Amino acid sequence: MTSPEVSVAPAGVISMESALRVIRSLFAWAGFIAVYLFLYTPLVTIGIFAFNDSTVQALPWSGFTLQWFGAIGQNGLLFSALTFGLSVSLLVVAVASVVGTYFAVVVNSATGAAPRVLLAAVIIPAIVPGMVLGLSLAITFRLVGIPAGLWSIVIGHLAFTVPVVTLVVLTRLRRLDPSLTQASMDLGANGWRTFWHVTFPQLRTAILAAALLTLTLSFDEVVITFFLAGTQQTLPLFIWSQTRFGFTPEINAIVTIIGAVSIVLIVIATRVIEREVDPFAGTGRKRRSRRGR
Amino acid sequence: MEEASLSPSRPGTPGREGDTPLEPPTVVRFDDVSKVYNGATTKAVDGVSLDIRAGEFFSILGPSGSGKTSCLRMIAGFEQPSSGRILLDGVDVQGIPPYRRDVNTVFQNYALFPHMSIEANVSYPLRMHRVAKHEIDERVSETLALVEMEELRKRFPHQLSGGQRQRAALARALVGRPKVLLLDEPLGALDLQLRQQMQLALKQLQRDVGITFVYVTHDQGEALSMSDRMAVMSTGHIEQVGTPREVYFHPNTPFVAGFIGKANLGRGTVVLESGATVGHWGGISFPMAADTPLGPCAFSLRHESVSLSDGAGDIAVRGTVEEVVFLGDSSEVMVAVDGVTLVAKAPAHIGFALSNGQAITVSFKASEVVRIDG
Ligand SMILES: Nc1ncnc2c1ncn2[C@@H]1O[C@H](COP(=O)(O)OP(=O)(O)OP(=O)(O)O)[C@@H](O)[C@H]1O
Ligand SMILES: [Mg+2]
Repeated sequence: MTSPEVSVAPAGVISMESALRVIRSLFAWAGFIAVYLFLYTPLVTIGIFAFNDSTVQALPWSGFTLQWFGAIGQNGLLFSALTFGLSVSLLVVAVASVVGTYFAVVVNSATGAAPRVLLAAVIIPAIVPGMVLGLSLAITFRLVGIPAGLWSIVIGHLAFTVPVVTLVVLTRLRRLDPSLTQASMDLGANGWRTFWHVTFPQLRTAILAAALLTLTLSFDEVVITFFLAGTQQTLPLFIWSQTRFGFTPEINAIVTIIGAVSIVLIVIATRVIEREVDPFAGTGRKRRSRRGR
Repeated sequence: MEEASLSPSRPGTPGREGDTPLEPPTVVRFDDVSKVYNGATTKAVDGVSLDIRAGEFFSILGPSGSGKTSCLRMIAGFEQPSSGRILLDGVDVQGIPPYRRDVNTVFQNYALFPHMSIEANVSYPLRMHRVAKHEIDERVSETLALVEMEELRKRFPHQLSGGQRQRAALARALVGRPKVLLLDEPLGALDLQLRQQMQLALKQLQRDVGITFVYVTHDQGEALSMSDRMAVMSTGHIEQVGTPREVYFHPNTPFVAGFIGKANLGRGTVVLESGATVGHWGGISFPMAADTPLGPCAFSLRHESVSLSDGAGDIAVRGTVEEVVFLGDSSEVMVAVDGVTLVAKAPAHIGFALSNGQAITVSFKASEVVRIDG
């Protein structure tokens, strides 16, 4: 029997289903947007106040100004916290990149049970709570006689950034084709020259990504730094101590700068990491030649 | 022999007396080499003794897992023998790292350095050996010309086809003029047509440069067509070493007979009957050479040695067609004869004309039956 109702019924079911799907996806989007609003509104707010021509952190908007950015330089304590924090982070980046890469190479070339043990030994400081690490380092440094200051903070930061570099570089190392190192040795290069000419060039992007990550991790670290700092504060410590007396506009300005710089760094880092997953993504394959047979 | 004096600890090496002054010197020698990998229970390489001579194209043929790659990696120095010795040019290479061995490898996946141009890849071994700049340029150009890759020298590996990468890898391994070139299934990743072209090109190249090639493959066609001599391996040990002809027509073991080409294999005996040496294979009898050892043995007879007409050989027997398998350019006809099933290779149109159960006469030359121990 081929009555018209028979053919109508399935269509009705389909439209019901698709309506449900639309509603469900609306809810999903609404949730998504709510979460992002929640995350980004404070960031945007701080950014807005950094340009607001008023010492009071409240609406209404009283005009556009760049004076708070200029005020950063005038605020001696703020400026010295910024430069001190930067020197800490740059030292940390330099040392962590070298040491972390070295650890990754050692772990990667070890055989048997050694890699797992070595890796665990490297990583544990990164997963111990910052409070525990900071306190235990502070006590140890006092016993050993390392004064609180630049170097104590640098060592403290290395404890959790070296593992990060090790992991990022190790992931890359493990994806490398082992026959490339063998080919290099086969063609007359010893272990060191093989590393320099064959392994290291393929690790460069991973090391760069790890260095950027280390920079952001170290620059805004608070807990460990709190335990290890002497009289000179790093920027986040300084800002934190200032906020107890209320925000000042130049803090909005510097936080806005830092936010913008870290977004740029993170975008670069992820770009670099993605490129590393498939260095020849895109046009490379199409350019393959078929001639010369 | 001269290179014997180079080696500190060689008196009493077995097999040395076999060398005649006319033969080229041995460049690679396996002296009872075994390899057991860490954690493995069986030997990947099991008591291999082998002499590879200067300037020859030597193939190692065997099924997957037979230990071919392991042998090659021990020559290159990526693995150490668990027991036995490997001598390169008469010198025990135990403990000598890969970069100090005058041996280069063409890897199965080519292992071209992805971050270097073809030119930089090919000049790499020369740079590592600190060859003078102008000589590097000269030799790179010369070697790229040899493999017809000059126009592609600025490209990167990912911009090349499989065959081009293969040739680039070959150029890189050859440019340092090693004493021995090791090739591990270098044509495995190429399509059939390109593979056949490259077989010819490789053989030609080997003759031109005069370098000893040790070529690992599981493709018997490749081994038979390219080699001066070849070794057949199975489960870690060597079954037979010889020229392709010897291995093909005079297999030493049932494994070789079965692995190379297609052969009828079966058990039988050789007996002395009124002064003549006679082989019995099922109900088939045939004369054998007078010096053939007597007693039970295995027989091998190639498919193409069995003819479907009665005049082609000196032994003709009656049988019935059991099955015909069409192979495209030819067919395999299985004929039951007196308790033995003989497979004959026949032109396709002859195979089509036969039907199962049909009575037929097959013939073969008694001289083509090979007696095998075991
Ligand atoms: N690194 C290793 N560790 C443990 N066992 C190994 C290792 N390499 C090879 N083997 C084992 O040794 C045996 C011989 O391996 P090999 O690679 O030499 O075989 P092959 O003849 O080259 O095989 P194929 O034709 O498949 O390449 C195999 O059983 C293999 O599983
Ligand atoms: Mg192999």
